[in-house]
Amino acid sequence: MDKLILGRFVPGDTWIHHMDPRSKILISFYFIAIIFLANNVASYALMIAFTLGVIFLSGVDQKFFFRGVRPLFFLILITVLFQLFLTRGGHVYWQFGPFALSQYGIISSVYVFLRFMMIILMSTLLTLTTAPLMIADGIEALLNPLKKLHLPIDQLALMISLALRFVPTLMDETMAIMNAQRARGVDFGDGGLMKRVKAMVPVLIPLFVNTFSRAGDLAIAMESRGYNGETERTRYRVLQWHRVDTGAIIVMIVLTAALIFARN
Amino acid sequence: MKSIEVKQLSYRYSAETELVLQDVTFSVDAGQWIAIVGHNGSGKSTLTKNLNGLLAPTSGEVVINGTTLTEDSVWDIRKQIGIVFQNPDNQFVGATVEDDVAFGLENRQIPHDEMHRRVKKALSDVGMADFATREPAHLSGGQKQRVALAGIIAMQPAIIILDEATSMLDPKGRSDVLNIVQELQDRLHVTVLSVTHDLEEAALADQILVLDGGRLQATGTPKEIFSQVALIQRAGLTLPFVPQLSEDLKDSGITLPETYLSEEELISALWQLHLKM
Repeated sequence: MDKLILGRFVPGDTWIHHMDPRSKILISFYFIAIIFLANNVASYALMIAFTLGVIFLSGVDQKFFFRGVRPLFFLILITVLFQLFLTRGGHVYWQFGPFALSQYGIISSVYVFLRFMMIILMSTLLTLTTAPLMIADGIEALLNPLKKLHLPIDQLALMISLALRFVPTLMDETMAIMNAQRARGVDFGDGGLMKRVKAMVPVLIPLFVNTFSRAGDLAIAMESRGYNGETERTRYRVLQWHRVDTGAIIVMIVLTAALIFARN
Repeated sequence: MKSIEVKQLSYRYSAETELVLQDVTFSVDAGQWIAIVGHNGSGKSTLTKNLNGLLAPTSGEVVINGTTLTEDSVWDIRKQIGIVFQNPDNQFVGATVEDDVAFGLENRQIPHDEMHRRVKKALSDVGMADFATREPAHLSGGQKQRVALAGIIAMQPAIIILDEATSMLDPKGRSDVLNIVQELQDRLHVTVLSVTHDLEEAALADQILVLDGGRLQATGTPKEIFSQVALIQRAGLTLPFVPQLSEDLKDSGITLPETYLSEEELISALWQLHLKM
C-alpha cells in the first residue's frame, strides 16, 4: 500500500493542506513548467529556495519525500550520467571515445539533477498533502469545461473515485488469493524472472474473475440506488476556493516575476 | 393499500432454461415485516431483483404501492425501494462513509444543504456518525452494512429489502443490523422484506413465505411455519434452536401446546407444564 503513489496522503493542518485541490494541481503544473525558465545559479537558487520553503510549510516529515524520490533514483542517475558525459563544451577535463567530462557537461548535469529533484518533490508534495479523493475532485473540476465537447466527465470522475475506493479491497483480495495459492504450494519469491511471472498467473486469473463479479454486484447496487449514468447528479462534496488559494496564485505571480528578473 | 403485490410472477433467465420462479403470488401490507426463506437456488434472489425491475418478469405483474412495474415506472419504483445486498464490499460506492450515504441522494438530485442534513441524520440513526469520514477499508462488515442501511434511510423509501444482508456478518454485526431495521420499522412504519436462509432472522417477521424450486410452498406466521418440520426440511432449511427443541420435546412425548420462538416462552411453558398435567 505504501508504495502506491495515490495511497501516500499524510493528513495535516497547514495552509498547504487547506488549499483547494484545483489551485494545488494548477500550481504544481505551473511550477514544473517555469522550472525550465531557470538558467543560471541565481534563478536555480530562487526555485530551490521556493521548493524547500513550501516543503517546510507543509510540515510533512522529510522521510516521505525521500520515499517519493527512491523509485525514480535510476531514472535520475542515468539521465544525469548522460548529461555529464555526452555534453561537450568549455574546458574538457577527460575524454574517452565518445565520452567526455567537460565544463558544460558538469554544469548541465547539475541543472538536470536539480530540475528533476524539484519536479519530483513538488509532485510528491501534491500527493502527500492532498487526499486522493480531493485530487480526483480537482481533476474533475478542471476537466469540467470539456463537457461542452460532450466528453463524459462525470462518468470519468465516478470511475476514478470507484477505482480509488476499490484499491485497498483488491489489495486485500490479492493477499488472500496469494495465501490460498501458497497453501497449495506455489512459491512466489523464488526463481528467475520468468518463473516469478508464471507464479503470478494463478493469482491474476481468480483476481480477474472476482473483479468482474464484484463489478456486476456493484452495478446492481448502484442501479438500485437510482444511478442511471445519464441524468445530472447533485454533488455532496463541493470544492471551495479560499483566500489561501488566491494568495498562492499571487505568490506564483511574484515568483515568476522574480525568476524572469534573475535569469540571464 | 398493499405495499407490495406480486401476481402470478414467473421468471426465466433465457428461453432455453427452466423457470426460476413459477406462479409466485403474494401481497404485503404497508408496515409489515415479511421474510422470504429458501435455500440457495430456491429463486429468492431472483424474486427480489424482479421487485425493483433489475430483472423484468417473464410473465405476471409486480405492483409497488399501487404502481405497476413497467419500463416507464421503474425509476419511480426504485425510489420507493431500498435494498441492502449480501456483500458489504460490493455495494459500497463512496470513497468514504458519508460519500456512500450521499450516493443515492446525488442520483436523486437532492440539493446540497438538504443532502448534508439527511446524511448526518441517517448516520446517527445507524450509530455511525463518528465514522462519517472513514474509508470503507477501515470498517468491519457489520459497520459497512450499517452504512448501506444509512444510505437507504437517507432516501426515505417505503420498502426496505434485506437481500441476505446479514449472511456475511458475524453474530454481533448481524444483531446490530437487525436491531436497527426493527427500530426503523417501529418508528417509520416502513415495509421490510427480508430474504434469508437464516430462520432465526425470519423469526422476526410477521409473515414467512417459504420458497422452494421457484414455487411458493407455504405462507404463515413464524409459529405456523416452524411447526411444520417436514416442510422446513424439504425446503433445505434448519430450524433455530428453540423451535427445534420444542419440536424435539413434542416428539419425545411431552405435549407442548405450540411451537415456541423465544427461550423465555419455552421456559415458562416448561415450568408450568407440570401444573397442567
